[in-house]
Amino acid sequence: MRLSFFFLVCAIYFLSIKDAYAYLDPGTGSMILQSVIAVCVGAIVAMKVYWHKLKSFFVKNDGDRQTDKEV
Amino acid sequence: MQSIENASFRDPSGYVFYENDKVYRFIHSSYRKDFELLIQSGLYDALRKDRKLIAIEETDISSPSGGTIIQVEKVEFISYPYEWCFSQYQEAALLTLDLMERALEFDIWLKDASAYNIQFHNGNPVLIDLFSFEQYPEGSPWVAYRQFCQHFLSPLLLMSKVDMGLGSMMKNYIDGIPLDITSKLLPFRCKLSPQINMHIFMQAKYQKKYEDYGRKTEIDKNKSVSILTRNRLKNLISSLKDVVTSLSLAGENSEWANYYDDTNYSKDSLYEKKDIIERFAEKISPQSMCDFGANKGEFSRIKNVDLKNIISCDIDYIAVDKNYRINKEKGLHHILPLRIDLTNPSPAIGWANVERKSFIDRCDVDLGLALALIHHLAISNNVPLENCASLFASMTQYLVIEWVPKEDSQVQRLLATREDIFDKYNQTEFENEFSKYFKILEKKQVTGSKRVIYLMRLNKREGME
Repeated sequence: MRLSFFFLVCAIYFLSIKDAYAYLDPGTGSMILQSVIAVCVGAIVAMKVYWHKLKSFFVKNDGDRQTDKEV
Repeated sequence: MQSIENASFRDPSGYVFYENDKVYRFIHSSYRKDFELLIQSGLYDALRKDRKLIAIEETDISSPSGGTIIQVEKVEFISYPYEWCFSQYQEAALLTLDLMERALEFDIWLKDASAYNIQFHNGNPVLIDLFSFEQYPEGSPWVAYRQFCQHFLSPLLLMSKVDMGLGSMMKNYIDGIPLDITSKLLPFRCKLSPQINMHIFMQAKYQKKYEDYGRKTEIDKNKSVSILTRNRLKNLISSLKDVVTSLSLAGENSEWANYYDDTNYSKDSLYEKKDIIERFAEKISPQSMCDFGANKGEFSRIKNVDLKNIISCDIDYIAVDKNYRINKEKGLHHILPLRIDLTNPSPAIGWANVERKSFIDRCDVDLGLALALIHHLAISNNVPLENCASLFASMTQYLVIEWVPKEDSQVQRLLATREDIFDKYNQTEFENEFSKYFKILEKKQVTGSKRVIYLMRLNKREGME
């Protein structure tokens, strides 16, 4: 909780970026959460990329096991 | 004569209207800049190349208010998220995220992520709301993140982790399933997944925590509540993609999924049934068809008929899902499988109950198939034969319907644990009741079975033509 308060204080004092004038209500909590989880999410994504690379390095002719759905 | 689309009112950028069976969009001059950005940046062409959004054409039609009018490609049949099977919903979600990723390459993003912006067209999901694109404001968190999680992530998680039928909750929540409800319904093990924890459970908590933000804190609208760099935004989208891709529908073997392995038909009878139906269909040359009890779509995939638009409905989620995947494998783009319960079809919902139309209103086809269905309606659901006829009469011009007699093993199975109160359930009554709405053109018994397949045409109402 203290961490998120810290982020909030930083955001308000150090940043002066205009909000997108969205016609949609983005929800304050949802907007703040994105900054809070940004680092964690980045780490998970990076980990998955490296794990994927590591797997394909060791397992020959494995092909892409992940269900990459093509839309 | 012009008529404005009832659902097209929330976005002040413009609206959709219909004239002479064509679809148009009116764009306010204030939004013209964003629309031009979509075209001139090359994003529209790039997405059109991959058929990810609906085609548009500029028109010469001028508007007195100075706006622009464009013509939009028509979708054959409008369907809603609560009618989609899991695979369809999953693809719609991945399309939305994919559009967001592609748009960012052009400094554009999606300002909303409603499931109603996606429709199925030629067998694949496409974006129909081109107003969703706007200039990407560098550094801003995604304004549509909450909406994406409510419209896509919540229903997909519930369908995957709790029950496949929970997609229909989208009927109750016009702006997607609220995250606090999803949090309460998801099993505890979902909290152990860091990504699901963040996107659903944490977001629900943060929503609650900051719901009074405007009242308790003095807000300077020129200052943002938070910042998110472009790279971090991309990671957020990747994470959402990751979660959506990893989900699958549990329970591949439902009551209906293996239906055709366990019925009254020998293989020859099955072929003969297909043949009868194809011959009946050829006689009337329909452009559109609805298979009301399609199961996995065996009979929706009839050949030799120049059908452009087939809706293939079933009550069973797994059967609809299999139907969708089989069509994809076979490259059949003109069939749209949907999950519809004929005893409780999608109602009209939303603002003034006109925003999302009822299934019965939307279904107006040349040919309807009601195969192996009548006993489920009349016996399992106690619906009188006349009411069944009336329902079909409101949706189709021609009807190919299979009469399933009481001696049939499927009917015997239905009557096994209940009293037979169905004195009026016989072939004569069936013909009498249906003749109140239809004219019986032909009937053919399937060899090797007691079932009879009828071809009927809707009676013209008196005073018409």
